Amino acid sequence: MDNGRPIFLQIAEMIENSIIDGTLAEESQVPSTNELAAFHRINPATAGKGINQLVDDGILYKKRGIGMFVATGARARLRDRRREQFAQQYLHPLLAEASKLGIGADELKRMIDQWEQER
Amino acid sequence: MSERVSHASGPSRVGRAVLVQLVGWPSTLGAAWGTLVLVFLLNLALFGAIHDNEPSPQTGALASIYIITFVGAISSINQVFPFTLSLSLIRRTFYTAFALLQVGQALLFGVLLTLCKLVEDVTGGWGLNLTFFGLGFLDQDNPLLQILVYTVPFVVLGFWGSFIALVYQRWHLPGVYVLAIVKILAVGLPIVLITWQRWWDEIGRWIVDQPSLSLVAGWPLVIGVAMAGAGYLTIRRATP
Amino acid sequence: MSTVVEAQGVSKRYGDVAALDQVSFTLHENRIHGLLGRNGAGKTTLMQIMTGQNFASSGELTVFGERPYENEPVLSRVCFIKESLTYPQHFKVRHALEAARLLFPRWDEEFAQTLLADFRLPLNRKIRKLSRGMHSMLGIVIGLAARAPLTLFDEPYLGLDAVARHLFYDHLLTDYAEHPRTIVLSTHLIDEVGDLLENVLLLDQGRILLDTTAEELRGQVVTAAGPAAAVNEFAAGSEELHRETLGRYARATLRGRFGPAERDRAQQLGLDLEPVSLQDIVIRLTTARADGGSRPRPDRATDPGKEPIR
Repeated sequence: MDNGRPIFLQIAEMIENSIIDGTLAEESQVPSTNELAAFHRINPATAGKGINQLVDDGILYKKRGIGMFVATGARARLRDRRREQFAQQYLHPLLAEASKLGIGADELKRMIDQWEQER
Repeated sequence: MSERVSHASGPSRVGRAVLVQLVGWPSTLGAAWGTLVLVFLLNLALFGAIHDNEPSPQTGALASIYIITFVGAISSINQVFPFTLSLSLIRRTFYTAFALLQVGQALLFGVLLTLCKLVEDVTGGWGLNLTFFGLGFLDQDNPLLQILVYTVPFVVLGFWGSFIALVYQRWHLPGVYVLAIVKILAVGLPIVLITWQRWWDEIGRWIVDQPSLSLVAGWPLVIGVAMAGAGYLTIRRATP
Repeated sequence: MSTVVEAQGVSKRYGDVAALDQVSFTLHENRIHGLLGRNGAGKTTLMQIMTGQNFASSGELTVFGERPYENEPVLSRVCFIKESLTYPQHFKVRHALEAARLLFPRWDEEFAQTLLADFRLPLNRKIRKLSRGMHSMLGIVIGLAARAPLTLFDEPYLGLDAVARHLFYDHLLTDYAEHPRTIVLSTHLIDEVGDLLENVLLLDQGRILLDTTAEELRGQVVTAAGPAAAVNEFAAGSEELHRETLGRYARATLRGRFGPAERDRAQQLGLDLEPVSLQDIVIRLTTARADGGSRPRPDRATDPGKEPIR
């Protein structure tokens, strides 16, 4: 776990990433709080908080007596949300650094195109 | 999950405290008797080798088991008490179990020594006219009284040793120094007083008038009980 | 959430020295608490008072709602494994386990055997002949297998290597998950246990410096780094625990509320806002006090050493 950022958020994010990249399919079971706690060596209450956040978001749902499952449509919803956050999380720092270096918007676009071609 | 739990079955808390103090008993109780047996066999071998048994030999080696008991009580308080306190046993329960164990052990030892004395009497001093167990001043005609006479010194020494150790556990070295000074005064002042008032003759007569039973069992028992009480008051707020 | 330990103005004085000074806090049921602080902060004394092994000079402390001193129903539910735990001279490893089995009502023998095997503890060795690390392992085995509803570990791993320590953390976590109980971990290895803790109690010079959740604490302290002027502006209103300057560049450790709004503001000011590890938070908080109290910003001007270049 990296320091500083709330661990429960990191746990939630890790599960989200697994859902987005397909490791955790929709309607499949998610590791239990205790499994997550043991694996990441964190307090079970913290792991539970991460899971609960995803439940509140409708990403996971609880099957009584069995465990937590990925909700249908969770993947699409997470992708939409991440897309919304993309500008804030990635474009904002990119533009800030670019302006510090005197790179204008046009030049930046050219750089991106060039990068795409070379890839 | 928060109900008051005692072990669902098996011995009570005091019983468990007794058992805890008996953990590893071969190296404590066993050692006491092992030493006595060893000393006894050495005596047998020694006097067996000498042959010439006139006058009939006596030995004070019986004192070894009493000394070991005394030391055992001290180390029980110095080692087992802090350990059990660490394992959440309360002082009262520890001490109750300790006292029960002291008395029970003393009684067991008393019975065993009485049996040994009987064998010694029957075998004519182990065939060597040796007096190892039935030292003259301890001799009683009644076997029950004989047991008592053997038992009481164990009790007294046990509680005396444990009291000293408890003073150390509670007040540490300063406490032991104070105790030593108090003891010197408690013994010294009466001696000075008795000498000054020339009471020695009367005291001597009083002692002679006492039956030997009260001298070896009666009065020491009073001292033993007083020590046990003092030990209880001391342990209540001991912080080893 | 019910309370397991409640302390109200607990003080412990040894002559003129106050080992504990008006300490008040609560420990909640079935949580893992970190009891942190420097040597001599009063952690061990506090745990001794909680377990009836020592007495407070004043104040009130209850465990499971009652005073713990000579209280059998309470203490039979408490297990305190201290660094200095000593065993009777003649004890072998198996004797210590026998004693623990007799005294802890919820002792789990099977679990104890698993732990023994994992730690590779020799049952028939005299305890005084164990290495320092093995001695610590024995304490850990007892502390875990006792399954006491209130379990306290005081620096339980002197001499333990990293492998054994992680074995301890893993067993603690999995067993705690299956058998929830209230745990108090007192340790210097804060970085290692930081993520295990739910609550943090920080003691310094006999006083409570912090009583909060680990999660909350993480969000409360940040370092802001960037141009000194911008740092000054950002630091206004929060408590400054520490500052380093390099020319016109400054890095300040701040305590306050740092939500999304504050993060945006830092970004606008061109500051890097970095998280601070629990270990560093504890170091900053305890040294800030040792310097004569934490300094809010206005005081800083009186300290030329720390005055940023404007």
